[in-house]
Amino acid sequence: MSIDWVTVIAQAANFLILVYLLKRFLYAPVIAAMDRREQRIKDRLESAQQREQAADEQAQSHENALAQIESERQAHERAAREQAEQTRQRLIDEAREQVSARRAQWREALQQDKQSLQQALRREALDSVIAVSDRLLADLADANLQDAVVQRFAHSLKSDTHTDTEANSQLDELLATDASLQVISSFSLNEQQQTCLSTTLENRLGHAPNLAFKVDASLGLGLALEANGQRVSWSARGFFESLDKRIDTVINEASQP
Amino acid sequence: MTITPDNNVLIKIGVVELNATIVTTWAVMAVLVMVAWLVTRRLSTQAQMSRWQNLLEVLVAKMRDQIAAVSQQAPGPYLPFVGTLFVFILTANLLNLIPGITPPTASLSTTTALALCVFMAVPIFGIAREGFLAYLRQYLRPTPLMLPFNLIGELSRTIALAVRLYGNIMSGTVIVGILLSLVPFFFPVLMQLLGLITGVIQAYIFAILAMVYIASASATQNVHAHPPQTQDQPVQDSHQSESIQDTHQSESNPHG
Repeated sequence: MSIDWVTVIAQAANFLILVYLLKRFLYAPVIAAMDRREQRIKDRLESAQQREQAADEQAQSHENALAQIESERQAHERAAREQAEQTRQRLIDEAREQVSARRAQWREALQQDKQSLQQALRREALDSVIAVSDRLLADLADANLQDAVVQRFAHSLKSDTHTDTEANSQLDELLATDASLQVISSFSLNEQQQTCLSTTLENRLGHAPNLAFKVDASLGLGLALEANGQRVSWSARGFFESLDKRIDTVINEASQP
Repeated sequence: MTITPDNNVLIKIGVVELNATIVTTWAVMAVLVMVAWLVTRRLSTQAQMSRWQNLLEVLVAKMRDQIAAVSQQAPGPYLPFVGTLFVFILTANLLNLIPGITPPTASLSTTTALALCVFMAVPIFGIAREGFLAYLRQYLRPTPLMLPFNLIGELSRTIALAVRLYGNIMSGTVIVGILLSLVPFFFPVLMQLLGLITGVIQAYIFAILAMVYIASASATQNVHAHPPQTQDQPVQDSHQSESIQDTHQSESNPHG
């Protein structure tokens, strides 16, 4: 167990040289490489964090855009629904108006048909009444009734008893002609009746009339005085025809709007 | 039997004699520097790297961690010195496995040289860190009466460093040599394995104790002036700390 101090000094020097060499060739390069790798990893981590942050921001931006698109879609959908609802309501209103118009038109046509039918029925009823009355009067016409008809006709020929001025003037115009007068009846007049009529006309004319008598069954109940194509009559048919004209006038006035 | 390789002069050039200790030391130095140069000339900063680079990075990183854990300081200034102590002693001790070669650490001259380097490094690092007066003031703590004992402690631990390493390695070499003559088969292999373990442990112990001594030179000041600063390894491994404390406490009573 001895110490060689020369060797000690040499070994110390060797060791210090080795310290320098290893620091030069081992520790410094390895630590530098480790530091560079650490820095590289740190940079990559920072880059990754930045990318992640950018990705998050981009994702947030996309989410915002999606939310905006969704909002716009909802707004468009709402507007479309409202427009569709308005269109539907408008179409319904138009359809209702059309239906209402057609219903009114139908009711008007129905009313017109109803009125036409009523008029036709009324007209038919009147015609029937007139025909039946005419028939009844014709069937019931006997001597007394014929006398009454002659008396009524003779009365109407009197100028002072006439209330109808138009009929009276028409009679004057007829009597003013010099043509022969013809008395038309639906039944044959007996002598007394012919005399009554002749007397009445003579009183009115102031002279004996040129009078002839004719039987015409189509005249119905009544008498007619005809001369030179003009006729003055008093008959049930004439009343019925007058009534018929008045009814037509009333119906026409009622049917006009 | 050759006790120390110092007496084994291999080369003699005039008055200069190169003994086995110096020659093997140069061989160890050459191997270490060559391996370091070969590996570090193409270092990769990518995730992919060579196995040798990976080995060296693990070695350097672990040494930095140990230094930071022991010193509670940034390992940068201490790594070349302490790390070279560990690597050199470890490599030299492993030479014990090669038959016919006596490791340079089996020489008391080598261990003394290393201990003297540590002895000198302690005040150098302490003064560089704390200043001259502040460093000298710690010898007066806790009281000036402790100055002689502190000085004796400095010397004794330096001697202990040298003798511990020398004794362990030399004893292993001598025991294997003796057993080869007595029981030439099998048993020397077990002793070689034991020597391998001992060599690794002694390299670790020497380096760690050196770091403890260097750190203690400024630790007294740190307690009062500065909080512990560790840039590279801020978190201290409590288990490692305890084991280092135990080692520190047992330095005055080295085994072997």
